[in-house]
Amino acid sequence: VTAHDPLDDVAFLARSAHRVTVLQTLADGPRSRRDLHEETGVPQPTLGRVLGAFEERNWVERRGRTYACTAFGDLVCTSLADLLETVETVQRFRDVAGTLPTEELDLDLRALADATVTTPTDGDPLAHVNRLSDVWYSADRGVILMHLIPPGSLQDHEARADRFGETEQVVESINSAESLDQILENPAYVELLREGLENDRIRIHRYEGTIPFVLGWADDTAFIAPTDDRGMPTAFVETTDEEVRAWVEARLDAYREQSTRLLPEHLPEAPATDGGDDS
Amino acid sequence: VTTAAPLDDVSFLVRSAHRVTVLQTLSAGARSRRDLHETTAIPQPTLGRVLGAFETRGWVERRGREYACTAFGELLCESLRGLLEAVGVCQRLGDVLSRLPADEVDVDLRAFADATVWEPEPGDALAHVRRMEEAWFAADRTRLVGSTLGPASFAERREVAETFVERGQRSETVVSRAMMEHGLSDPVINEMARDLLGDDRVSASLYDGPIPVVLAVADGTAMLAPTDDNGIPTTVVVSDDEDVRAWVDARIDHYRERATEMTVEDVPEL
Repeated sequence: VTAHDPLDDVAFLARSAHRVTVLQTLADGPRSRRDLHEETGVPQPTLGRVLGAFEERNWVERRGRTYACTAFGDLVCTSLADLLETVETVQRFRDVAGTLPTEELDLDLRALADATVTTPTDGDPLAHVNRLSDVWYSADRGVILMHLIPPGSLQDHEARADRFGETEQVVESINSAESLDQILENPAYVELLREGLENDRIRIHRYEGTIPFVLGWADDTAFIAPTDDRGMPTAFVETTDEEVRAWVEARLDAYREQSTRLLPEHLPEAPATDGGDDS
Repeated sequence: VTTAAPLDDVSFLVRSAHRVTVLQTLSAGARSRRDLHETTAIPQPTLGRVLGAFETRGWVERRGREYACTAFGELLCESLRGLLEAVGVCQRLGDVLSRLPADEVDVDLRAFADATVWEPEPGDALAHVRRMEEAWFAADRTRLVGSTLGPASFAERREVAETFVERGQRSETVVSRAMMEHGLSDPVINEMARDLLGDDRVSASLYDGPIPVVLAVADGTAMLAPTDDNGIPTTVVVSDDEDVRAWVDARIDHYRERATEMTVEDVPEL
């Protein structure tokens, strides 16, 4: 018996979609050659060659009139399926692969198999930011970690605050000190926050360290957005996977523990409404 | 940029050993292009093309002067390793294990990734059987299911049996009636068996059905050997893997539960 390089057999299999189809079909259950032909549409002569090559490799065996995967064939098929699924995930993350904080991502990336990735596109360079807003502002419950003032004009924020007031939404945010200070410097923003903070429907935490991404969950959706140096999201990744959700919550807990809660009494005084106090 | 079907990317990767080597090397740690060239001996122009194609696919990224696998590149490398391992196990053990009855092999075959195969050698057709016996006799605790004695003269058997008694080894065997009767046809061994069967160090059971395989555990090592029609092992698969050993142990239990425990009365009178 000569030793083969496993890569030769993997390449042999992956080179032809017909071969992959035949193996996958037999892994699903034994078939006669005729059934196999009808089900896969692989021409008979090709089928004969593929089955012969599979038999030689102990992936497939004849059982009377049918062909069946051996335990090895099943294993090869499962392992190939795993590789194809991985590649499919990798393809989806191609544009963000280099920007996701992988050192921080102490997460089995396979859990991202069902994730959706939104990236800026030519005509819609804010597609990912808009998606983040859609997910965040439509949720009843959510926690977000960010080094960023939520996008939108003051009018947008006022409109959001009005809608927020009419709902039962409860949200929590962990902000970088820099972004929080900028919010608190603007009296208009402070007034939008005051009521929410007082009735405890908005909780804000000040984090003094570096926040290298946007991270959070909103209802059933967990999300992560890699950012550039200024905190601007470069893509938006969302998933309802429970493992990712648990990971996100654990990361958020860690940031929250390192943060200081912003209480209503920490807010700057409201400006006098009658304009009588000119200092 | 359009995205290929996943199979296209798999095919792209595996149809060149260079590409696989680059991915595996970078998965072990970031390297400069020069370093990569020196480690892998892949020509610079090829390397340039491979790295470019990998960057486009998000498998590797530049970090200053170095190239590094992205987390996704590492995941890809790990998944590929799984497939290569599966195919490798099949290449090494497919011929052997496919000779076993299908219901004998209800174990995750990946557990055999580190298994070795002992085979007859030119000029030494019983090399594999001898190695199996050596491992068996060197162990302190052994279990065995089999249908035929290994090759040895009765004089040798006596010696081995005496050593066995002196060293305080423990053994549990499930054997065919023919094997038992043949083994105990020597008066000295027959006498030793009478002494030993009263001792809880030794248990022997008789199995009446066909035994198409030799299954043995010698301390931490599991061995299994398909046999020809005469019960002679044709090859021996040897593994120290815990899952393989647990599976072989379970198979031995299976035979033992269906066998009859021997007592002194079952030892044939000579």
